[in-house]
Amino acid sequence: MREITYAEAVREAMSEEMRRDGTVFFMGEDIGVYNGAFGVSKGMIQEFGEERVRETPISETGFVGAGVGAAMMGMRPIVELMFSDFMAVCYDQIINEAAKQRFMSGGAVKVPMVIRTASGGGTGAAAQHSQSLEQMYCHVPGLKVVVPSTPYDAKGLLKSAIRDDNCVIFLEQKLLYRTKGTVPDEDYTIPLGKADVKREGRDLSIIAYGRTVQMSLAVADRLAKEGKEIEVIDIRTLSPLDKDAIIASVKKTGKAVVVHEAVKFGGFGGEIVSAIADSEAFYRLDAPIKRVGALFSPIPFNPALEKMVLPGEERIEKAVREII
Amino acid sequence: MATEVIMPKNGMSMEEGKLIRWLKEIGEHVDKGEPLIEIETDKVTMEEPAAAEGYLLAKLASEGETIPVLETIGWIGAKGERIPAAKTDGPQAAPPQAVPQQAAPRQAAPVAGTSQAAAAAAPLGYVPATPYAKFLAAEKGVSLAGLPLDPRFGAVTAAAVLDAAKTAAPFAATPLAAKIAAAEGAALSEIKGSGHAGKVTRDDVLARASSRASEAALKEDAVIQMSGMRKTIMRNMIQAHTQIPAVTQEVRADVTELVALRAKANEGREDKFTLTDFIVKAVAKALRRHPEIMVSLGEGDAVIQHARINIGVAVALDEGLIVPVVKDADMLPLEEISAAIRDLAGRAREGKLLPDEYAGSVLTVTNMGMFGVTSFTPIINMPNAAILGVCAVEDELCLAGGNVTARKKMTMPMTFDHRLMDGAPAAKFQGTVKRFLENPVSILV
Repeated sequence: MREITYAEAVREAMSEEMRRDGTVFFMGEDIGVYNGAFGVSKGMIQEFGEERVRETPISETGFVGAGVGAAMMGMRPIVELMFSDFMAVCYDQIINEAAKQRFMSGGAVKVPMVIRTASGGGTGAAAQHSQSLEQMYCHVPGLKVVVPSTPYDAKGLLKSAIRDDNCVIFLEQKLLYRTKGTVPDEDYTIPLGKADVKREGRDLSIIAYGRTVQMSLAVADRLAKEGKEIEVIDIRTLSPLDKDAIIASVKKTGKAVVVHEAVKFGGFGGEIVSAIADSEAFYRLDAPIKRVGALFSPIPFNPALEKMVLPGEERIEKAVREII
Repeated sequence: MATEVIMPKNGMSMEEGKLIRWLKEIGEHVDKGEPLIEIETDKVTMEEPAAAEGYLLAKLASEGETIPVLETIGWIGAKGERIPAAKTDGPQAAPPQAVPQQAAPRQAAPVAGTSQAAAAAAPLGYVPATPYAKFLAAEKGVSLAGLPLDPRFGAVTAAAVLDAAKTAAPFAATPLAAKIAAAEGAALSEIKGSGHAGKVTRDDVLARASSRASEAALKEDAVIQMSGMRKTIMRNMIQAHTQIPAVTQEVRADVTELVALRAKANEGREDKFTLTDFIVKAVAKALRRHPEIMVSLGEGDAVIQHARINIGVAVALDEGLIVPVVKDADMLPLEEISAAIRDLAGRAREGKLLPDEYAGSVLTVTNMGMFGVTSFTPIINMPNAAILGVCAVEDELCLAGGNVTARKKMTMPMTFDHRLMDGAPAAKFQGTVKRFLENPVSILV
């Protein structure tokens, strides 16, 4: 199978869906001749033209709102926000419009829109361009939230997101764009709401998503040399959440470490822990559940400090060793 | 005022005894006369009752220790009561385990490296353990008390329980008892075994569960989810009761000779014949003469005439009722019918019946005699067309040739489906069963 980057996988998903379905179009800042801030949309304006690859001014509230309107009128917009931090300026459009219209109209209209956005830190982009805000959207019924960790997942999940009749928040972590992975040539989709066992093991479950999945796999490799078999569950979709996969894994291993890049306090990991505690897996727990996430701090600009705040392999390994 | 627990002097020659185990945990309540310790003397193991009512405050001797008679090995008293200072002149053991060194078990945790005994770190009676450790302890019948704490969590973990389960089985239990205990969430260590060598049996677990249930029921009403078996019974009973125009007619048989024959047949036998065995055999023979009873309702207007004489025998379980089937009962000698019923009923109680072992009956026999029932109206076990009830054997005075004689009588109510048969043929069949039972040799030949 061929290897492509995460950014290429995202581009392929968009392009293939735009070729397949004339109602799919793409909108955002600098996505045309500039190829997008991370080079994701390279070549798309040449193929699809300015009608379907629409460059917008710096006006997030405006163009997310335009996306909601277009979606209500039967289009399937993909709206790119350059940085997920900018979602804060279009909260009303996302939370009060995109998430609500289908319900408040009794299904008369729907908002089949995907908001794709670059999230996470590790790039030295400082406090306003490095956040992981996925948990904020998980709390809003009407939104689906996806954070893929590999090129394969990114492509399959984005295609499902575009075809979904609800608003999907699709978070792409910046440091993943250049990672490579195998992706088949043929068309495929991955259903939203399905976790993936990235590595099987019997001694401990790491439940993670996004970039921390790769870190967790590296930790699992290290511990495997000591005879400890760690299972790594990539939840992939935060909402809807595949609780069954999490519970089944913890029932098997009896130990859980929950990992994400977002700030640990108030983070989505708490929801995962509660899914475990409020299930039959509770009776199989043989150690406290550990959580690993960013420190309770804005992401510092100073690279050394940023590294300290964000979770890495060391912190994951330490948490694992505390309970395995 | 605290009371001493002493190594008892059981017998003139007894000078010391070995403490096998404590039957109570520190902080646990104990009634006067309730077994508290298990001791061993001259190769006799016995349980020693508590001398007073109260809470076990301290254990001054550890399990496996040999102690001179009359020496203090523990204290019983009020909750939280301080134990008196050394009083015996014997060497006072190390500080009693009762007093927790720290307030919370968690704080005991950082004392890493050494594996502390749970009882030592725990406050009165409480052993910190992970949920899975507790689950395994209940399942395997292992007591958490005394197991090493994982210093990282200050709690007993699954590994310690599994180790303990491997090395010793102090709270031996039958596999079935362990299974039920795990399902009921009961700790085997808290259940006193009545089986061989104190083994906890299914009945012990159930008795404990039911005593707990009755305690709870006395206090307040409870809404309890029906078991799967209960739901099945409910469905079947409603179906049978509402769909079948049922008639119950009773026949009373003189079983004086049958009772005598059974007593004779059972002389010197280990596996005794039951009255049910004889009745099933008699019913099987009678069915051969009355095939019109062996029918069931087919599709539409059809009636299914059954060929094989498969007789269902109702077995009462704690959780409900099940009807295993003795296949081709007419072709089996009494000996084999008896063995089949014993095997089926035994496995029914253990929940080990295979589905085809309780399917395919053409008539059901339900014996309530052992409970002293003298009359009842059984409900048909669908798709059977009839069910034969068996009541208790009663002594009755009868006139025989102008003389009053004592006879043994037994009522047999049969409920039948009036759609499929009428009163007369049903009565004829009942009459045949009655004649067989009244002339029991005819059952056997």
